[in-house]
Parts: sequence; structure tokens; C-alpha cells
Amino acid sequence: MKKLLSRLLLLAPLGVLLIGVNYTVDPANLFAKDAYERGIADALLRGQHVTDLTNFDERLLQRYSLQALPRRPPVLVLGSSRVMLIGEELFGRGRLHNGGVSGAITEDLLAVYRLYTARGWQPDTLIVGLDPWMFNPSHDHNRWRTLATEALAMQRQLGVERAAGEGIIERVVPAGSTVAKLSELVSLSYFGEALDVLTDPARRPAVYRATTTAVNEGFTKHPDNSITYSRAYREQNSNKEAAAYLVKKPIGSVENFTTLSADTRAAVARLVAYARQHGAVVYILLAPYHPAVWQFFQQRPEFRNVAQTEAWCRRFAAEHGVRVIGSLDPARYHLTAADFFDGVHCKPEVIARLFHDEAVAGRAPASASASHVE
Amino acid sequence: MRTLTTVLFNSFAFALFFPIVTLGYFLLPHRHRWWWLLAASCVFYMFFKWIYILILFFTIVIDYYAGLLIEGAHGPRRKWYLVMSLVANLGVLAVFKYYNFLNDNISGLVSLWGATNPIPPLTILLPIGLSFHTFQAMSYTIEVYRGHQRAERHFGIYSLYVMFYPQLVAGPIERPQNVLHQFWEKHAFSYPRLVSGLQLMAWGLFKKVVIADRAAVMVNHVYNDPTQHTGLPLLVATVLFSIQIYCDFSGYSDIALGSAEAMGFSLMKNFDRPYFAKSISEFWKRWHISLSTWFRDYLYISLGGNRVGTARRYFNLWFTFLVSGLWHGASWNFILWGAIHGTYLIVGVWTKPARRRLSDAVGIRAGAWPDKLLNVACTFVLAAFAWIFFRAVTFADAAHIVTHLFSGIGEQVAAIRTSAEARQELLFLGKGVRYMAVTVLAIGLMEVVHWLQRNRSVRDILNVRPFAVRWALYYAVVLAIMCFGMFGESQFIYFQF
Repeated sequence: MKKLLSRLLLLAPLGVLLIGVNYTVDPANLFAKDAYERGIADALLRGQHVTDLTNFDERLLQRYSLQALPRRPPVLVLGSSRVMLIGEELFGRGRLHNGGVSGAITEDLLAVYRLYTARGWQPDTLIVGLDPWMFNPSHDHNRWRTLATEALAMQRQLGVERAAGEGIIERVVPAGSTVAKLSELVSLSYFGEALDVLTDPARRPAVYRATTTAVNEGFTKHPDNSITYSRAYREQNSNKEAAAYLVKKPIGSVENFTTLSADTRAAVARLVAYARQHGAVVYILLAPYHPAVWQFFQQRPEFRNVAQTEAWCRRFAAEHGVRVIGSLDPARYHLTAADFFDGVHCKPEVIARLFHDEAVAGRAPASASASHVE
Repeated sequence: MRTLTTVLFNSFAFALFFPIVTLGYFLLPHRHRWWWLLAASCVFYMFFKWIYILILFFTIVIDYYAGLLIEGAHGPRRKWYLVMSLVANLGVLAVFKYYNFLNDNISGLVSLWGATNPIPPLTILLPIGLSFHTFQAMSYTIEVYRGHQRAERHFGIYSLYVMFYPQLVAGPIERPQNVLHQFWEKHAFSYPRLVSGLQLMAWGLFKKVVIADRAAVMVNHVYNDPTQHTGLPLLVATVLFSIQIYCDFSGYSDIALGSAEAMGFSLMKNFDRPYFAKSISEFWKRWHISLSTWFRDYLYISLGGNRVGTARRYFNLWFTFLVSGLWHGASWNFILWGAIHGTYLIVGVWTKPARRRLSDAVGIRAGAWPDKLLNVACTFVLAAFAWIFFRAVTFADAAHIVTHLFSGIGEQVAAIRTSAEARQELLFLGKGVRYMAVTVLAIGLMEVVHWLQRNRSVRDILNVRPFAVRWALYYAVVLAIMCFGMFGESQFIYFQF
């Protein structure tokens, strides 16, 4: 055993190398003690735009923003990155908070709603962006764990049973917890990312910059927590990006599930009912997919749940008197590739058009009007 | 959440799990070790989906009692108990693995007449490694029935035979004669054995994360939407997938064997440099040995094996491979993959004299190195072609790949000579030259090791080298894993079976 221990000591330099590189390079700003997200939130709360952002925890930013917002924004948007382009220009300055976070699932929706209502507020208008992957019973999204406290509290409040099948590791060490962050010190995948950053200076995390300019070269977060993509992203070929999206595996966690998750359906139903009980007008937003992506989903039986998601949302909305804005199907609004940044994110003009169409039909969200849409 | 979390051999969780279990095993007195290993195996399995342990428990109870009943019975009753055990095991497999496949096919059939299938599909996950532990459990009752193995009286030890964590989810599919007695034996701690096990584990991890997972990125680029590709990228991706699946599965097997060896257990060898095989028949003696011998011993021989007429022998061979394809997955692609291999074997036997005459005619002497090289290359090409059906997501994708493997290659070769972008897309499958170079170098290193292993284990060669040489190599392998490995916690391909 002595021999074994002495030999193990010989491997110690490799451990030191691993921890040293992970800590010093820190490609995702994990060891900045939350200062990164807190600093962004402070700048946003001062009414500034923050640009050149990379690798920040959007959920943590939601927590810091919502905990310190000075006034109640009457419109709350929940959803994934596919709703993150919805800005206050649609509803008036200071009237909207965009609670969208990338790869959101229902736990994220509940967590952000909880952060908002924990301030003693209730929204006048609640826009809930729903995406097909949220209905996949075995999706692998776990970033919501950063806001686990809020999500679980809201689940209890709504009487939605905690979803089964959770991994034991995630239960013991929630994502976003200090232990989870510290475990990245010995993570080989984090080491790989750190090496990529070391060998490719372009991948170094940038220092963010607070500015009064809304549209910048880099990715920008606005005071209402909506976003504007970087110039490079805004100008890229959406067809190429859509094709790239379709070769990833699994494709956006939307394939190969035979039924829509009962947990998700229950959580959406309870959230909608709760918000309406507290006086909110609720809209379900279905952000369209790029035509090539939609066509791909339509042609393959393993993606039939994408269309079924929309069907369920519409059925649910009709049964409960909730209005639906948009459609996953781009043809419904005659959208073309030019209306998209990539395979899944449509341009803000499209979002504005969806709301505008609702306004024309006399079914606009509480404070939206055609004049705001322009 | 609904995360699919397992203690994968390439995960941080396993880096904690393995030393704790191994240390606990040696610290505990011999009489307590069985429950320690069983508890560890249960935890290992329950990380996936804890409720599924009940399925394992169900088959374990059935087979444990079936073994005792078979041994104690005489005459037709013995067979009846065996059948009961096989039905229970195959029933679980049928429900979890094949029900939806069958149901989908029924739906397809009835839709031809404009009708709809009223039977709903099952919305359940396939328990991880179900085909592996089911086959291992069946080998126990069959061996007891054949009188080759005494029924195990100790329920815990029998459970451990099915659940022993190194081989629980992806084999090797063990035989009771090889493993059961080892759980009764006292294994003292042995430093050389631990080192040997760790060497094998490190090598397996290298194959998995440096070769298989790197190749997977490029293979997925093509195979996830093959209709966007023709010619070169299809060829490169097909060759890379042949390497990927070998490194993925043999890497898993190495880690399984190594982690068992560290505790003093000897599991059967599952791979023996299969791409050095000089015929498809030899390929199957070197590839997934535990499964091919399972099918040979329990299906092929039961069907009559070689002791029947030529036509029946060919049918037995073909049918065995067809079932082997079905074992791999509930899809027509897998069945076709099995059928192709069965056909290869039959055609191989038929054409053997003609091929020999052809070699003689062109002056290639049997057994000389050009003959060996040619046979190895042909075998690899045939195996790689069959892998197309294994990897393609749908039958239509496979058909596209097969029909476009050589389309436009002339233009593509001209394009890659002049355009860096064309090289990246057509040759490096969306990745850069550095990424491909590292992958090819790693494959080259593996082949050098394979070549060194032709007569003697590389570990034996390594263990007689000076301390500094050994540790320099250890450092090189670990650094290669750290720097070039892909650690997104990708699953092993064979877990799905």
C-alpha cells in the first residue's frame, strides 16, 4: 500500500497542472465569485447596455436583476433564447422584463416567475414562450439548476410534483452550486476548454463593457434583459446556420419522444392558471423555426412531436381562453430564410410582426399597440 | 430533472466511484466483500434510472430459482424450468426493446390498407445494457441445464454474477463457469495486478476519449444528415465510424476488464485486434468475442451447427447473424447489418477455392505477406461497408450512403487540391486539419500498439522496462487523454443495446 501511495504521488503534478490551468484560464468565468454576473446586473440596473459578453450564467443574471429591479415591469416574458429578442420597445420603456434564458425548460419558467413574484409583484401581462424540447420527457437540459431554489419553491407553490428521474449527482450537487463550480477545477472537459482558449486567443472570455449604445459589434444585453446579437451573428447566412443546427445530435433535444411530457403540460397549465388567478393576461408565444428546419422536422417521423407541441399549445389555449402569438410553422406568417439569424432564432422584426398581427386582430397583449411595434 | 445520468466509465463520477469501491473491497474481510460489490453494482446501475433495478431483480429471482429447480429436477421438468427462465428473460427483452419496433411495423402494415393500429406505443426508456445482462443471465440457466455449471445457492453471489458492475451494462457477456467461482475466491491486494488493471483502463480510456469521441464528431457531421453529402465525406466518415465503434466498444471492454482485474477478477477478452482479421469468419472470432461465442454456443450449435447438410448449415449461419443483428437493435438497419455479415460468411465459404485460384494465378502465395495484407484490407472494406447500415439513422439514409459512396469523387479530389474550405468540408468533415491530424496520429499510435501486441501483451513488454521509461509513457498517455480527449460525457455506443 505504501508503494501505491508513493506512486500516486508521482501523478500529483498532473493534478496540479489540471487544477492550475482550470483555475487560471477559467474559460467560463466560474471562479470569479459571481462578480461577472453581478457586475452585468449592476450595469443593466443603471440603465446601461452591456456588450462583449461571453460565458456568463444567464440564470444568475436573472436572479441578480430581478432581486434589484427598482420598479415593477408590468410585462414579464418567460422562455428560452427564442424569446430573448423581445424588448421593451414593444410595450414602452420600463414596462417589460425579459426573463428568457437559453435552453429553458419549465423549471426555468417557474424559477424566473418565482423571482418576479418574490418581490411581491404580479405581472399584468405574462408572455410564456414554449418550445418543443420543453415537452421532451427525457431531455438533458440541466442549466435550470442554477435557480433550483426558486424553481422547486414555485413547483411546491403550484402543487406540481417534482419531476421524476432526476440524476442522483444533480440531486447531491446541484448545478450552479459552489460544489459544482469547484468540481470544474478537476474537470477534464473544462481543461479541454481552457486549452482551446490558450491555443486560440479569439476564444478568451472578453471583458464586458457597459455602454449607452444599444446596437454594438458584440453580443449585447439591454436593461430590460433582452438581447441583440453580435454583428457577425446578425449578418451570418441563416441557411448555413440552419444546416449546421440540423447535423448536431441530438437536434435541440426535440427528437424521438413519443408523448409530450405530462410534467411539462401540468407545469404550464398550473403556471397559466396561477398567473391568471392573480390578474395577469397570459399569452403563449410560439416562436417560428427557420423554414429549412421546420421542413426537416415535418419530413421525419422522429420529429413529429414538434408539430404535436404546437397542436397541444393551441388546444390548451383554446380550452382555457389563452391567446397564442406566433407559430412554430414559419409558413403561417410567410417567413423566409431572410427572417432568421439561424435555424431557430427569428429576427426582432418578425417578433414585432407577430405582436403587430395580434394587435391588428384586436387581441394585443395588455399594453402593446401598433405604434409600439414600428 | 429528467437527465440521463450514469456513472459512465469516462466520467468524473467513475473516477470517484472506482477507487472507493476498490479500496472498500480490499479493506473489508472476505466474507463481506460480496455485498459490498453488490451494493456498489446496484448504485452503479441505479444512477441511470433507479426504478429499473426492479426489472433486474425480477429476472435475477426467476433465474436464481430456475437454476435451483433445473438442477433438482429430472426428465422433461428440467426443460420446462429452462423454458420458463428463457421466456421470462426474453419476455423482458421483448417488452422493453422490441415491442415498439413490432408495433411500428404493424402500424406500417395496416396503414397499407388504410387502417390505423389501435395498439399504443410504449413510452418507456430502454433499460441500460438490458441485452447484455439478459444474455448473461440466460447463459447461467442454460449452462445449469446442460450440466456444465452447478446451481448457485447463494442468492447474493448469483445476483453479483448478473450485476457485477464492470460488465453490467456492456459486457463482456460472461459465462458462469468463468465468473461465479471468482466471487467465492479470496483476492489479496496485489500491487502488480492493480497496476496492470490501471494500465488497461488508461488504454481503454485513451481509445474512447481520444479516438472514438473525436472521430464521433466528424462521423456525426456526415451521418446525422447524409443526404447533404456524396463521395469523399461519406467514405471518410464510414472508415472513421469503423474505427470509432471499435475504439468505443473495445475501450469500454478494456476499462471493464481493467477495473475487474484491479480487484483480482478475470473477465473474458472481448476484442482481439479485429481489423487485423484476414476473413469475416476470423473477424467474428476477434470482434465482441463474448457475444459471438454466446450465439455460437447457444443458438448456432442448438440449430444443428455444422453437423447438418450444407444448405441447412448455411441457413444456421445466416439465421444466427440475423438474430445477432436484431440483438443489437430493434430496427431493420441492424437486422440488415446482421444479414449482410451472414451473407459474407456464406459467400466466403463458397468462393474460397475460386479466390485461392485467382491468387495463385496472379502469383500471390497463400500465407505470404501480400496475401495477408490483401485479405486484411478486403475484410476491413467488407466490415466497413456493413457498418453503414449499423450507423445510419434510417434505412433511407443507409441507401443514400451506399448509392453515393463514390459520386463526384473526381471533382472533389480536384477541389481539395485547390481549396482549404473544400478540404475542411470533404476531407476533415467540418473540422480543421489539426483536429484530423490528432485523430489520425492517435489511430496510428493504436495500430502500432496492435502490431506490437501480435505475439505478446504490450503490458508485458512495458512492465520489464526501466521505471523512468514506464512512467514517461504513463505521463504521455495521461497527458494525451487530458489534452486531446473529448469529455462531454458521451455515452458508449453499446450501452443502447
